Amino acid sequence: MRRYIVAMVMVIGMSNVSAVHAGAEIVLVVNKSNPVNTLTKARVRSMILGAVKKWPTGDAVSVITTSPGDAERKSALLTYAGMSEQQFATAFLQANFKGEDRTPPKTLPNGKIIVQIVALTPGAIGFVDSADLSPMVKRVAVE
Amino acid sequence: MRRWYTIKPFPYLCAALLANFQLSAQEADRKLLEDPVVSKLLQRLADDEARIRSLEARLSSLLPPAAAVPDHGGVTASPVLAPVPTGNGEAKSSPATEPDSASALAMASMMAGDHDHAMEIPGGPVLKFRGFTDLGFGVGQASNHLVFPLGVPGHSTFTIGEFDLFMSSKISDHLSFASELVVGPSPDNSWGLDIERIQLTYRANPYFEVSGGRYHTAIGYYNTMFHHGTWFQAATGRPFMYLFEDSGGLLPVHNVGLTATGLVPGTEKLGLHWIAEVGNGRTSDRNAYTVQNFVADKNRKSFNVAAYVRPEGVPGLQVGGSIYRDRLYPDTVTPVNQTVASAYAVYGNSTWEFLNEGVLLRNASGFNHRVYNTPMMYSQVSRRFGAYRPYLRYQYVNAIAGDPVNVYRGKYAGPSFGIRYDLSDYAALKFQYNRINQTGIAALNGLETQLAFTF
Repeated sequence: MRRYIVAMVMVIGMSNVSAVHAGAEIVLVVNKSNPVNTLTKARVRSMILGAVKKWPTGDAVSVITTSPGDAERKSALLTYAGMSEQQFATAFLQANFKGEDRTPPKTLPNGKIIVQIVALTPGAIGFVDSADLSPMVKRVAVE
Repeated sequence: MRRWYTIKPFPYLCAALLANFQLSAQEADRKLLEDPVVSKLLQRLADDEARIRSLEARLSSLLPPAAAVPDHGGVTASPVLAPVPTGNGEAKSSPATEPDSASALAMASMMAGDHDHAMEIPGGPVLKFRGFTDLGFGVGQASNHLVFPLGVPGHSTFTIGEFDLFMSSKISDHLSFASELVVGPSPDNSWGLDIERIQLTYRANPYFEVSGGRYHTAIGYYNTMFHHGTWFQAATGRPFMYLFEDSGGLLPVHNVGLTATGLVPGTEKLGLHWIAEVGNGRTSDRNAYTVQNFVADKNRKSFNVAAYVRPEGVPGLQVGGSIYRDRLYPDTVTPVNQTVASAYAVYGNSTWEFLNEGVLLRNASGFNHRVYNTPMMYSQVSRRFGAYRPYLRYQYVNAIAGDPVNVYRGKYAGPSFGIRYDLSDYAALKFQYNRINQTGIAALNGLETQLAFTF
């Protein structure tokens, strides 16, 4: 009985650890010169789907995520576009087929590089793990 | 989660270059060069270049002298590959000049490479292709989504759907090109080649873009959302009301001319879009090819105006309508004023699809001063359960007798239901049952199986 309890506690403990790992927070970062501090979830969805092309400042929106298949990107697509990777790819394919001008997100290998590029690019918006946050960029709140 | 030090740096650099950011400020450059990650990338690039040089040197040592010096000006026909005739008329390479297999492979590779380079415009537009097609099997009278009037074929049939090659190319920041080249089957089992869409588009900004060429008329939703590839569609084919002209469709779903569209400034949250189109319209001769690609039969042009909203707060919702006007001369003298009014409300996300459209086709004859109204509608709902998407569609068209323009006259209405199963990310198997009630004849039934895919 005691062994079962120990095993149960271990399983619960491990599941908690994996939940923390799987639930790593995806945050949005922009260039420090960008005056935007908050975005609605709907606006973020429009941005990641390529429908919004300009910031209020006039700078072109450049969405940057990690590479397809990465956990951060999967989480970002699911949270903000409500889509899987395949559904996301199909949405762009269909928009292209329809004749719409939609640019898919640019991809970089990891959050640290995304943060550096966002710090150098006025219109960039990056989807990164909260662990990759840096003072070089500004975090945008999502309402 | 992957960290920077676990990833090969070379792909990083490629991805960064592709990102095409303008890092013009010297301050930014200085900071970038001081970055340890960038330093590592640069070092890796230098290492890779050295490795490439070493490999090139090894390749040169394997090649005969004539081919050892690569020349982008053109690799001439080398004697090492020149065949010599044999006594029995067959060609055979001369043993004296026959290269070893490594050299031959290298030569073939170089020549193929040069050929590819000849087709490329450095820094210029790149033509992208995507293909769509479907294979199927139908049983019953109402089992073919491309054949119209309904009731054909009468026998169970294996079918090949449209072979659709979609091409697109970005010519400049503001100019782009798109086309759909379709090889489609006919009821007489022959193949026909059609350029279903060909559009050169100028995009000034999100508020204005204009395209010239042959396009899908912005009547309703389905006609511009789904074109010739069936893979995108939940069902096996289009609703009756949006059947293509050469399948007997009643609406001018294609047009040749100009189409302009854009977002209305200041309506980003509402997503209010406008569309204005002017084109040759449909031919007046019911026996002629319907879409007037090259020669119009009248000076007067058709025009279409449409608008729709796509509210940002309700992702997936789109509500809109359109008015299309044209004047046809079916008897070459008396005009028929044609008006097509449409309204729709659709909702779609990754799980649900709910499509509702209504169109009124109105032909006002100048001969007997009668107005012939043809109402048409469909409603479709589907929901995804993992790889499965069951769907139900009900459709109705009623083209009244005496209409001077419509090819088909009569009422046909009925349900279709089926299930789509995504075999893979880019291939879907569909099973669909159709039942169609038509004026004057017994109801038709049909069962379709379709394998639709993109490649």
